[in-house]
Amino acid sequence: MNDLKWLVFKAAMIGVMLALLLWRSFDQMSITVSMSIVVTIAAIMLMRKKYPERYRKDEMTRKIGTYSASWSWMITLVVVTFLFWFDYLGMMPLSASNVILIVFVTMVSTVIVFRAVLMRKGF
Amino acid sequence: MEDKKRLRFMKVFGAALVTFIVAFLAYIFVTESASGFDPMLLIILLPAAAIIIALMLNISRLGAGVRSGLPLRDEMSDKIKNRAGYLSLMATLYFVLGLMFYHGFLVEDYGFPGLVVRHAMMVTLIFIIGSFGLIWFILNRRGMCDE
Repeated sequence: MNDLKWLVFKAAMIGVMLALLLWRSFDQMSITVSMSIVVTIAAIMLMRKKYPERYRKDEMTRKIGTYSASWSWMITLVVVTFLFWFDYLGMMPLSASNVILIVFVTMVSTVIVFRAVLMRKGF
Repeated sequence: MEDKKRLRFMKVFGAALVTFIVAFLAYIFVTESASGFDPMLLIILLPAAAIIIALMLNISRLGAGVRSGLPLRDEMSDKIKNRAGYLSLMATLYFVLGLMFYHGFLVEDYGFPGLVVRHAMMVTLIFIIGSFGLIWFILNRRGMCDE
């Protein structure tokens, strides 16, 4: 039930984001991006349905997920601190969108990398 | 003995961190005071003071525990720290998505006040540290059960 609630929440968030994207600029680029997101989500759902054992959570995968998120949190903290100092000392000209994008990409990519490494290496 | 060594290391690390924060604040005040007082400095100063106080309280609490024979770290405290890191990362992810929404739609399309880069970074930094501290505090008080 809890998982279902989260799924509905995530679906609603993605729906709102896509609606905002299309509402803002209804052009070829936005439609392509929206379609890609929808197709990716459909592919993931199909894979989950076809191979449920690959996506089943156990104690080990939960532990790996928690550790990778925790390490990613640490990396993000360090990256934001460095960005702050680079900006403060004028070493790197940054805009607000650059900063937001760098933080977002750092968080997501480090979680994925740490998770893949821990899954491969074992724990 | 191992715990005492670790506690000593934590004290040295805490002192270095406090020195760094104070030096950082002094540097900001010296460089910014020429252009007048910026209220944003208060947003930096208050969390910095909170971090220093929380750090000192935590180290003194751990010291009292070690002196009375309790272990410095156990399985549960590690689990709580990792869980707090995980939840804090999730909260930060949604916070950054919110910032993206604000910057991408409200500022660019509706003329809301724009984000100053330094302030955006400072707010993100404070959110990352603050959310971790808050979640860790709640989990530490409430305890955790295995899911």
